[in-house]
Order: sequence, then C-alpha cells, then structure tokens
Amino acid sequence: MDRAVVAAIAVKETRTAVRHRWFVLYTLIFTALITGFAAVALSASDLTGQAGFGRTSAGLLNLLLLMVPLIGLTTGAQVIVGDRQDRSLDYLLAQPITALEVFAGKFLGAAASFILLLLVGFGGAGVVMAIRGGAGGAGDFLVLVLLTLLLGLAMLSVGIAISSFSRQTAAALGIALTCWLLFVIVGDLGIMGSSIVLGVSSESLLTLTMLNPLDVFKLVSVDLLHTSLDVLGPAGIYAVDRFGSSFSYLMLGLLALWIIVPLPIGYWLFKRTDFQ
Amino acid sequence: MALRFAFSALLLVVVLSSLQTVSAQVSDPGSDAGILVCETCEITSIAEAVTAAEEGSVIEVRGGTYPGGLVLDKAVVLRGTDGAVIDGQGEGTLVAITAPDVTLDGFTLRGTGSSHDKEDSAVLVDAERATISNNILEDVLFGIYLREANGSVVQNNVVVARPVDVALRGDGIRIWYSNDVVVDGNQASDGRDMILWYSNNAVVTNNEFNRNRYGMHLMFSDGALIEGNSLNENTIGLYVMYSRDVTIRGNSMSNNAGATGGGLGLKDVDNAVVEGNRFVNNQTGAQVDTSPREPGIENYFIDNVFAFNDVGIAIQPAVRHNTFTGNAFIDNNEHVSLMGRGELKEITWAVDGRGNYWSDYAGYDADRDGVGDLPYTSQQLFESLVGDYPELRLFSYSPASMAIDFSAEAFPSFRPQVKFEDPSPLMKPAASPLLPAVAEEPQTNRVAIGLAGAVGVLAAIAGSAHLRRRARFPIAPATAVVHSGGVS
Repeated sequence: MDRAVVAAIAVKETRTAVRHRWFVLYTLIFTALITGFAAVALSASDLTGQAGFGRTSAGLLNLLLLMVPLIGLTTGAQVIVGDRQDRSLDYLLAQPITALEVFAGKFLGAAASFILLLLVGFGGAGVVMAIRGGAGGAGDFLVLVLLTLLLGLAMLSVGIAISSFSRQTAAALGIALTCWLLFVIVGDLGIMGSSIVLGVSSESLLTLTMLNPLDVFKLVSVDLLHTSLDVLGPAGIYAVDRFGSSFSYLMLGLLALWIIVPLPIGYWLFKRTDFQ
Repeated sequence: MALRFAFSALLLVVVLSSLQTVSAQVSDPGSDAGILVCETCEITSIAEAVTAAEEGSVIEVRGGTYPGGLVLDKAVVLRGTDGAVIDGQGEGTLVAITAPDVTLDGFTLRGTGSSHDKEDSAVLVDAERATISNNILEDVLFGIYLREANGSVVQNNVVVARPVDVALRGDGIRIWYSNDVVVDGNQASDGRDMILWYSNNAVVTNNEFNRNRYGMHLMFSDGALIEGNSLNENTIGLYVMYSRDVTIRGNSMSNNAGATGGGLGLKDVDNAVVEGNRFVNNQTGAQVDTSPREPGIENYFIDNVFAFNDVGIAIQPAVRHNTFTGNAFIDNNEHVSLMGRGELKEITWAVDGRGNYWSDYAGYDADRDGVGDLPYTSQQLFESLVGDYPELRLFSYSPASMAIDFSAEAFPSFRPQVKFEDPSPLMKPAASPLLPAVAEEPQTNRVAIGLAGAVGVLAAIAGSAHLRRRARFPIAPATAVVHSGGVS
C-alpha cells in the first residue's frame, strides 16, 4: 500500500465531501442545534449553582444520538457508491493503484471531513458556554466531544460498508436510513417491549443493549459524565457491580470495534462488487 | 413573604445573640488569674493543672504536645494557644468532660484509639453546657461526642477523619440524648455520619458535612433548626426520621449519589418546613416516606430548587398532606416520582394561585401575571412505564424514550393516568433569598475554553474554505490522474 496514493485519494475525498451541499447543510444544522442547546441549558445556571456542562450534557445526549448517526450513516453511504454511479470509480480503479489504497483513502478522507463537521459544531457550543459562563465542566465537555467522535466514526464505518456494495446512491441511502431507524428507535423499543412481555433479567437486558452502538455510546457517556451508572436503574447498578471501573473501557472497546469491524467487511464487499 | 422574611431575620438575631453570649462567657477570664501550662513552665502537664485548678479556673496551654486520656471533672476553661497539641498516640479517648460548664478551645487533638466498642473519641462529653470551640481534630475515630450534654455548644471545629473504609470510620460529630445544643460553623467531612439522635431543639447552622455516608442523620429529635449547611457528596445529605417540628432552610444538598442515595429524606416526620434549599445533581433530591405520619398535620416544601437530579422528589404512594409551592424543578430526569403503584392524593401543588416552576411546562401566560394559564400535568408515558418496570430506566436519555412519550402525546389512548397536576405553574423560577450562595467558577477556565472553541471554529472554516477551492496543481505525479478523474 502506497501511502502517497492513500493520502492523495483521502485529500481528494475530503475536498469532494466539503464541497458537497449536504456537508454545508449538515454543518449548519448540527452547529445551530448544539449551540442553541448549550445556550438554553445554561440559562438556569445562576439558580442551580451548577453551570457546568457535565450534568446538562446528559440532555444533549438525546440530540447527539439522533443527529450524529444520521449524518455519519448517510455521508458514509454516499462515499463509494457516488463514484460508482457516475463511473469515475471505474476510471480510478483502472489506474495502477490497488483497491485497498482506494478504499483506505476514501475512508480516511470521509472521516476527516466528518470530524471537521463535528468539531465546528462543538466549537460553537464551546464559545457559547464560555460567554454564558458554563465552562466549569470543560473536562466533561471534552470527554463528550471525544466520545461523539468515536460514535460518529463508528457510524461512518457502517455507512461506508453499506456504500461498498450498493449500485445506486438512492439504494445506499435507503439502507443507511433503515439502519439509522433500527439503531435509534426500533432496536431499543424492541428490547423494551420484549423485556416487558418476557420479563428479561437486568443482565440480559444490559447484554442486549450492548449490541447497539448507540446504547454503548450512551452507557459510556453516562458512566463518564455522571458520577455513576445508578441513574440507569437496576441494569445500571448491575453493570457497576459486574464490571466496576472497567466498564467504561469495555464500552470504549465495543465502540472501537464498531469502527474497525465494518471496514474489512466493506473492503471485501467493495472488491466483490467491483472486481468480478 | 415579607412576614416570613421578618421571622427569619428575627430568628437569625436570636441565634446570633445567643452565640455572642456564649463567646462572651468564653473570653471572660473570671476572677482567677489563670494557670499556665507549657513545656518550660512550672506546670508541664495538663492533668496536673486540672488537679490544681478550682471551679471556674482558666488554664492556658501554650504550645507543646501533651498526652491524651485527660478527664476534665471541674468547670474549667482549657484553652490551647501557640498550636498546643493533645496526642493520644492511638490510645483511647483524648479528652473526657465529666463536669458541667467546661470549655475546651483552640487545641489540635490527634490520635484516638480505634475501638468502636469503647467509642474512642477526641472529645467525649457527659456533662451539661460544655463548649467545644476552635479545635482541629485529626486522625480520630469519633470526633466530638456529646453523650448526655444538654445545652452544649460545638463551634468552629474542624474534624478530619481517619482515612479508612467508611464502615470502619467513626462519626465526626455525634450528639446523643443532648437537648438544646448549638452546632455552628464546623467542618466534619470524609467521615462516617453526623449523628443527632434523641436530642430536641438543636440548632445546626453553617456547617460543612461533605463526603460522608450520612451528611447528617436526625432521629427522634424534635424542634431542630438546620440552616445554611453544606451537605454535599454524601451517600445521603440529610435524613430525618421520627422527628417533629423540623425546619430545614437554606442548605445545599448536592451531588449525593448511590443506589439509594439522595439529598434529603423524611421518614415519619411531622410538621417539617423545607424552605430555600438547593438540591442539585442527586440521585434523588428529596424522598418523602410516611411524612407527616399524624393526622391534621401538613409538611411544607417552599421555594427550593430541584435541578439535574435523576429524580427531583420521590414520594411513597401512601404519603398525604404535603404542600409544594414556589419550588423550581429544573431538568430533573424525572421531576416527581411515585415510588411504586398507586396515586398521589391530598398533595397540594399551589397555594393562593402560586404553584411551582417546571422546566418542561409547555403552556403559556396570556395575562402576563407570571402564572401559566394552563395547569402543569405530569403524564409521561415513559416515566409511568419506568414506575412499573424499573429496569427500563436503562433506556433513559435515549431517543426511544422520547419516541414513547411522543406517541402518548399523539395518540391519547396510550396516555397514562395523570400523576399530578399543578394548577398554577410559575413561568419563571423563584429565587428565594434563603438559597445558599453559589461558588464562582474560575475565570481562566472560561477564557481557555472560549479561545479553544473560537480558534477551532475559525480553523475549521478556514480549512473548509481552502479545501473547497479547486486544486491548482497535482500533489504527486501518481495523483494527477486521480484529480482529473475525480472532479465532480
């Protein structure tokens, strides 16, 4: 694998992504929502005496859980399939470069533009917090930013895996949105419903939720931003008893797996689709 | 409101003047010229000085370290100056007070024994009207223990507990069968509990009881006034049981966590007034359990702030006759939780057209009188599901839980029973003058994060603008092809 080639494709991919109207739209929406939330969340700080971002960021989780997977999955899903549909991918692959170099470059470029988008949003929120005097929880805020980046990259990986076998952008977007719905709402509702009907134990409930990267993100955020997981009821207390302080490492490991595992699958699908 | 303010002011004057009388007594050297103890003096032992002293003598201990195991059996004033230390070397109780009207002031007391059976303490008081003031207690099992000491004063002491497992620690301040005591301005943190049992009419003001198991535990103690204390980061900030006429005002009860942790607990408490306290970021802000227990009695929660708690107020279904007015409920995961199945009955949520502030109130105030025109009702489907199936709390903070609440809004047939209704919700949170002061955050932090954020945004915008320009020349020979092929 030639690093210069990967870098060139990555830079090209970042350029394409940043020029995309979707990028501008997503950046504007994300920045507006998160900055607005920070402003509203801090408005009652003089009364509560806790202006810090730490506790209010819990409310922000909901917003991040909706927005970040949506952006990550849909941008990821357009990465390869777009080039495939307008035939530029055939041209690219006809060059003396390997499929792995193309795939790696595409992923790195898309990841760079996505991280840029998230950082603009969080930067705006940081400015608002500084002006409104909510910087008490600067450390918590940074933790949340890093966790969100991990979640975003995981969703991007899944999105790219989707795009590597799709023939048309519309189909890839459809699959990505279905995944989003599954991760965000349907999965949790299904687990909730079955736990009410079947009376699932706290242990199995926790294990089931750990399969969903969004729940993993939520669990590790609550664990790191709150002092404890007790707020999540019996299952949270079970997690504390069972895993203790290694719980956050376990969750971070799971998130990392969601970034890493879709990539070889995507690469395999990519090769299968374009090299027959 | 004005009347209540006047009353608090009056009470403050009474408390302050009584404290002044106490300090006047302390500083009065009496007719006796005083006995001096120091390492080069005629008398070099405190025990010897106590034997030589008469009733009412003042003994000044100037500098030096002295052994523990002291018994003060006369009404003396024992005052430490120049950093006088009483060190028990890890043996027994340091100072036992067995005669009334003793004052112990200005010492550093360290190194008690570690027997829970013998209740090894720094200061053990078995007599009335003792004054324990301005002492520093280090490496002690129990700190100040009033065992039967009516009318005693414990003021401005600092207790630093022995850093062992919480179950092996002793209580920083322990008050047992001692009526009319004043506990003011003390710090007793990182210990086990602050205990006040079987002791009526206690005044507990301006203390810091942080990072303990129970910040403060009251039991069978009527008529207590608990004001201006900091009860933070404990398992439970303040728990009151089987007591009457308790006034809890202007305290900070924040960051108290643990599976059953919380800011305040009331169990079998009659005639309680909880006013102007701040409950922030607790597992549960306040728990109410069979309080009031007697008929014809009402408990009051007035002008408190409940913010960012997992549960603001947790109420047992059997609880009746509580009044909540002027409280601010801000961004609690659940403002009011009913612990178990049942209904909230005979709870008053508004008095004279003044209810509480609810941060999720979605009504309006057309006549601009500061009170919402629609009642605040709590009927969140997810909350009611969690009440029935506690393990579903795992899904709090998730879009799925929002979706459940939204479906109940959209389809009334899913809507759960109304948990309670505040007929006159306030549009703005009321800021009670009783609320404890808020610590200022460091300014440097603020500037740093502001700059970092601004630089980040600018860099990102500049970077995107740069990337959005067309590439003018290829980066490497191999990539020239890529660029010409990929421009869209």
